[in-house]
Amino acid sequence: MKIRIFGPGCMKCRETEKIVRNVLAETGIEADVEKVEDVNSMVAAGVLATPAVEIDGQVKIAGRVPRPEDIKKLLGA
Amino acid sequence: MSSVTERCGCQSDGVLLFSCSGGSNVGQLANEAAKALTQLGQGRMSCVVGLAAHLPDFDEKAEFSETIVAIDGCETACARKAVEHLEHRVDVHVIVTELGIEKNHRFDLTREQIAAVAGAVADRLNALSGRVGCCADTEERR
Repeated sequence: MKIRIFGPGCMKCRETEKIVRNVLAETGIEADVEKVEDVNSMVAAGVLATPAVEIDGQVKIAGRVPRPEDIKKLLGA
Repeated sequence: MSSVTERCGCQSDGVLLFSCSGGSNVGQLANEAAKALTQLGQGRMSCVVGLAAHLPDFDEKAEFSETIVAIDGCETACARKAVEHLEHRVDVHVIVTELGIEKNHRFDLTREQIAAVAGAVADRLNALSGRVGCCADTEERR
């Protein structure tokens, strides 16, 4: 599984990354997590609001910090 | 329940984006890139036509902005010239054709092309002041 977190490095984006990593640690789900900070990659992925979370090529959350439950649900945990 | 209303590391309030938005693929790419950058909190799109028409609101916005970006489709550089005609300085100038995108009059824009233009502007803004863009200025409630 590949998870990309889009955001230029602000507080909300860091919080999103932390939540995703915490959920992965808690559930034991293995995933390759990448933080994407450049605008080119964001727009290319169709992300026009950050923070955003993409799972396996599909943007699932954009423009808000997800709750841990949101991430668990998306991961099927 | 919690509410996240604080601003993130955004320094884009003073960045004004003018795009040429002309009648070609590259003009429309400039326009789409300005829209994307605005949505991503990298700046605020304004209206170069309003500026060229000498409408005072647009002139005032440019007067008080910290950074002015002109995104032109081609080397004709209408957006930059319109801004400079009103005696405002252009801090960042990006020309779409200089990014390797050929001008034509079809409007088959791709997301990758829009991304390339928006990315070029963001890179130059970052280089200008070491600024870091921000999340969209949205209020979140959960």
